[in-house]
Amino acid sequence: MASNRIARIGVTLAAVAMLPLMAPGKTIASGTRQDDPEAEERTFTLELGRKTFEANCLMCHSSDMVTAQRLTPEQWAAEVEKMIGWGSPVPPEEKERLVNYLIASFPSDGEAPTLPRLTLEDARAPTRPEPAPDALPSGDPDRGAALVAEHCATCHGADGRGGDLGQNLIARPVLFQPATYADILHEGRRRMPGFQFVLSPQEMADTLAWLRSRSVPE
Amino acid sequence: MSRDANPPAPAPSRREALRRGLGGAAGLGIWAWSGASPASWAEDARAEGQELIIHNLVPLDAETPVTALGDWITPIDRFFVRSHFGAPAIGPDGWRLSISGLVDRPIVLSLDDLAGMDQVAMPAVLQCAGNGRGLFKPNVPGIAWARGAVGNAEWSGVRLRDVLDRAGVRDASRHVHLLGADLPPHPKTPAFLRSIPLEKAMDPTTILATHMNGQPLPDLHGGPIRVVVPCWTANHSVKWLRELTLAEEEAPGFYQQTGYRIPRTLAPPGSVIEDPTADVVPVTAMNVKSLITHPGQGQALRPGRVEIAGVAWTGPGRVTRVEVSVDDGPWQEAALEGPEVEGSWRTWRLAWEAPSGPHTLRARATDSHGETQPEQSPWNKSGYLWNAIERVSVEVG
Repeated sequence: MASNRIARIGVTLAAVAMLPLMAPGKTIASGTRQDDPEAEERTFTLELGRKTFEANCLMCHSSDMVTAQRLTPEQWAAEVEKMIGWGSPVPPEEKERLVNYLIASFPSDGEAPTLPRLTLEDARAPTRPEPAPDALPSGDPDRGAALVAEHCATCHGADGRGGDLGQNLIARPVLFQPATYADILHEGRRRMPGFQFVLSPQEMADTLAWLRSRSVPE
Repeated sequence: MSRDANPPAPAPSRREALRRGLGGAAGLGIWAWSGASPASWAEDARAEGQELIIHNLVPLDAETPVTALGDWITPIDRFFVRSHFGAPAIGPDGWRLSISGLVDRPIVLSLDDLAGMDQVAMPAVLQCAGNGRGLFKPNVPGIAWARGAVGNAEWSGVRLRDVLDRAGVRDASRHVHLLGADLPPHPKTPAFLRSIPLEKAMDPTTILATHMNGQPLPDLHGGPIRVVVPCWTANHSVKWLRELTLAEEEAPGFYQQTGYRIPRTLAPPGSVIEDPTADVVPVTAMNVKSLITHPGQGQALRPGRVEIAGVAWTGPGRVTRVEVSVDDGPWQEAALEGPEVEGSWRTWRLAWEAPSGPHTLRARATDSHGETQPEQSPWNKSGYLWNAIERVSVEVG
């Protein structure tokens, strides 16, 4: 948990650094005056709420699914409770600011957004298998089992089907996107740290081989 | 909605092909396809706008623009996509379907086993229970589908009844639990486990589909195998089917016991049901509904003859009438076209001499139970079964 706390502090610092650059939400006054500490505090808190949203909601669905909703405060609070009950790892101390961010940004009387349009071919791009034979060496599922147990199971569960912090990895499209898989392991994603100094490319390939072996019908 | 504004009229050649191809095949009952394959009509439509409205990119939830729904058969790449957890990345190799629970012989079938059984094909409408959720006021949470979480495809595969007979259903069985291979993202997230009553499972039109519009069932639509339960909302038509379990009771869990339920009696908009177990019933049969697919909302038209066209469907039974009202004037009966197959939809059209100026078009369908689309759809907190009469505004000039 120590590294997790460090990661969280890192996110907070990044949020502070980004404040002058960030795109204002629709209810955030775009001309926040530097000498208005209350407005600044409000903006800051909303930005922290947005960070909580990105870190804890987007591993399971795209942001559009949430940002297209226009709900009452009670409905937003209920949705967040439902998702936490379903395993979203929102830290308890961040729940309130997540709810407040959603209430302020996507209120029930707000205008409905224009949704993006894509052909089915383009819409499936994020989940389409990538032929990237050079992205990783060929892996060994038996070696992968031990590596997953050591490095992945704490967050993703011993069976890879999800744990307290990490979502299910079995039968996920990314298992057939080796370049993306390697990139996520190198750089980390959302609340997951990068493993570039922990796992060699061969070891990454071994974890992938194990996850794939657990995904085919038994 | 600007992309809706300029749809091409349905090509007469396609309609002609439809009429010629179907000949006398139309009629209620088991579908017998004797003419052109639906895939060939899809080819015709390919040049037209192909985009879907994206509600959620991963997992994919995408709706068809209403102006792209004018064909009797909806092409695969325009058919709406609803995923709770997304297509499992497994592939068809080694796919197994298990049948267990209250059966004489628990069995496991491969896709080859299914291919060796009696094959059936039929057109059926699949519509998300929440199609129209985005039109309810006050707003309700969930994917804000407008009109296009619906489509009519030709599904083929084996009768669920035949599969169950191979395992031997025991007398105590009352429900069939349906579970797909899509895994929830987290152990605390409920699996998309659904069930249908045994009598619906034994209905000869309830099938396990391995093909859609003549093509192997694509993974986004539940391939290699999905359930298709005609006349009922599409949440029963479980995708990526892996397990059938016979049981005395309905399936446990959120998606059967909490989700997909509506108030037993009409409640005022915004009301909260205090005791969900006592006052709600499962959403099962679809209700009667129509869509105007041409002209589109906001479309600019030239004065003169305009074809107002659309589709209409219902749950069990048949669509008996579609009527159109221009500028809230008298209801005029439209011509119902295309084959009539229970569980499928009808296309319809009405010629209109359009004078210059702004106009409002409305359509309402009536079914064989005497049900007609209402002016207002009964509000429910999950936004199910929207079927209110809608308005399409056009500018003629």
